[in-house]
Amino acid sequence: MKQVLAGFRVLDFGHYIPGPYTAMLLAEQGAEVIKIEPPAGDPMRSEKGFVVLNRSKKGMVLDLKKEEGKKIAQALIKKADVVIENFKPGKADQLGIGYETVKVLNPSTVHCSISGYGQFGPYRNRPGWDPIVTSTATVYVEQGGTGIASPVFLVLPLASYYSAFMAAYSITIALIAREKTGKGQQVDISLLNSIMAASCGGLVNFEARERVPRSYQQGGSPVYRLYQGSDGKWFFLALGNLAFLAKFAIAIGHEEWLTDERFEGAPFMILPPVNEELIEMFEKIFAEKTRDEWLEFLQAEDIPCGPALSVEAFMDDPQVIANDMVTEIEEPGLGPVRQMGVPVRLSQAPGAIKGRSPQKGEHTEEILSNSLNYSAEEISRLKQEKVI
Amino acid sequence: MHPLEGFRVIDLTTMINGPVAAMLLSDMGAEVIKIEPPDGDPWRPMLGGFLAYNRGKRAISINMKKEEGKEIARKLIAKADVLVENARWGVWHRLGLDYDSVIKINPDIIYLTVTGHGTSGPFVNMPGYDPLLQARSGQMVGQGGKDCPPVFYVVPLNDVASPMLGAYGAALALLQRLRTGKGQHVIMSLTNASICLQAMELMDYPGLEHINKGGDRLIGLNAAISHYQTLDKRWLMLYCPQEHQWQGLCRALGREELLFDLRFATPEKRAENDKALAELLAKTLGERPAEYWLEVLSQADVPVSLGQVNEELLEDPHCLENGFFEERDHPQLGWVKHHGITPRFSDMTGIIRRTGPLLGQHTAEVLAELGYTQEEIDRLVEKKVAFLMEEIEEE
Repeated sequence: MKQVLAGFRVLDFGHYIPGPYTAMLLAEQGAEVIKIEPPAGDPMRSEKGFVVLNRSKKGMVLDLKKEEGKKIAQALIKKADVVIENFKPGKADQLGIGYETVKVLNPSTVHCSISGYGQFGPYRNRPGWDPIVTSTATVYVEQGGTGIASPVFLVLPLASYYSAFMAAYSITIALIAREKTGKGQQVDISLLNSIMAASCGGLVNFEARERVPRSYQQGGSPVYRLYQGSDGKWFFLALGNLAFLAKFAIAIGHEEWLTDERFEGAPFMILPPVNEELIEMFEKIFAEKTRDEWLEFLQAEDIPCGPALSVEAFMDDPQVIANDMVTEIEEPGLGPVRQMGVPVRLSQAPGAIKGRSPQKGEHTEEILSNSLNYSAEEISRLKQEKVI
Repeated sequence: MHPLEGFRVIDLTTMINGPVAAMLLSDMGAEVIKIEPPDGDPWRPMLGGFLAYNRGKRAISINMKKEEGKEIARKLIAKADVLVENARWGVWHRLGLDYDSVIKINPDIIYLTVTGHGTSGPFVNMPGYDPLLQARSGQMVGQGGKDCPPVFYVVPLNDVASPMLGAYGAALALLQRLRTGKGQHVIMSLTNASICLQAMELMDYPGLEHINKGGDRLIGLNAAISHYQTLDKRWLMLYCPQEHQWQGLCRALGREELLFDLRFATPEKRAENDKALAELLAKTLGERPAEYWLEVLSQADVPVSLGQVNEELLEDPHCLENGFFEERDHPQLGWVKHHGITPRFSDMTGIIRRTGPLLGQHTAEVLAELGYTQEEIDRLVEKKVAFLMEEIEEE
């Protein structure tokens, strides 16, 4: 079978992370994606991640602030299945690519807006930068721990990433609905709701909910946390159920733990101060051998554990290689760029990377002449007038 | 109308990554039946998480190690559009419910595997826990920083990313099936998710300098992207790396003179004198309470947020007005408040049919729908093939 989204056309008006990442995920399942940038370009172009989030796309530059630029965009929308934008709410309307306009131009288009706080509600106009939204969503405070501890800032832009995953899913859901109704619709995705979905286990609330106080950056459960070997190297011990705890206790010669009441609540609910006592005890045990000696010993017993490595090392990880999740793409000016592969595998319609990220405006003329039948004269006039 | 209304999903999963995938399909209107072993999903004791990851579903409890239990599963699978599983690779092969066996029962099914490592490769048989991937993929080391201990993320980041992308894959397969009539096997893993969450970190090219931005109890990346404590001991997250944001900040703080301070005149200068700048900002922001700064900075359109705690988010006016939390009744807990459905559609709605079900809550109901008579159900319960809710509560 051909790729699922083969024959679908996507216009990506996105910038920074959320919009572009969403469009990249759609492109690699077969969609033809045109990235449309303002004359100044996506501000993300100065960041190294740009080439990854924008690969597999064609690139076009349009000045949507000029009437003619708007006209070209709208002509493309008439032929598009999906429009993606992640401007501040309201800005897409000003640029002539908002849902209300798109709905009229092409009722079958799915229009996806991604923003910090969503298109509705009192914070809709707040600047929706990833760390700001993440902070609203309690994530840094939760990472820092309860009590007087400071919040802990997370280096990965998780809210942006999750919003892209949820957007790709939700757009596909809207395309499924379109098969029945023949109609497109607006899909409103917020970073806030996406990071809330990611932390939904912690957010659930009911009257009797007890919240366990904690401030452990290496994990609060003695049987599910980071430890150091005698060489100072770190590994994670993941005794995620009682069977693994039992295996572990027997393997290291502490069968008495099976009836030791300090382990009550294992694996995840061993509370202070008992957890601290056990963590200290485990630290002493693990200081007896090097990290790799422990890993070898524990893994031979089928006890879940693994080393803490750097992301550079992960690029050469044999499982990552087996999953075909690292690939190399030649980028002008950078050389061969090693980067992620296509994450979701469909057995009958596997996705594929379509090539490197476009240079700014690389395909502007091609798209104007092939898709919209602009003549060479018209194109050179548009260039002179700085519309393209 | 709900977008996936009429689609049936069989959920054979436990813990987090599988249940969330089926939950995301349920949120879009699919009818999800979760099949659990007699002792239930091991995540049930983590009550809050279990309720969140299993909302919307009906739950039946059967012993699939017995032939009659397996027969019930087969009947349900025969009528399903999607099957979701996240067992350690090999478990369903032993029970005869791997992809190749299932398509003999239901040739057009979409079989979604959300696993630890994938379906082949050297680690495929190893247990797949989210933190093991946090550790191996570089996430923990990246957060902890160079020469500091790695950091365990509280958000189960790969455990939620893999079902989001897995649900995307299942939706793609459903879209294709509407056109071709054919199903397929969709595969997503924690391993691949950990890479997707480091799309911009997992890169290499000649001359690329790898910078670890992490650190011990990190509060920000630099003075302009950081937490600051206010007079009333609350924390504000500030995001002002761009020139106009920096200028707006200085004015809003009443520290216009900083704009003329040579140490901070350009982004390069500010980077050079980052520590001095952070101290100045910390001092100023520490002089007034959070509420004051939030109002002043928001007025000036400076990106800022209060580091909210759970109770505050639950009462957050933006969340309330948008209906970002929904309450459902629970037979034992009274009410349960859930996060809302992530996408908002203009012409359709998602749906949270119920909070996470009790073990065996819908066993009798679902068996009756399959055509089992009351006598047959009683017999299955007696033979410990099927388990009802009441019986489990007594045990």
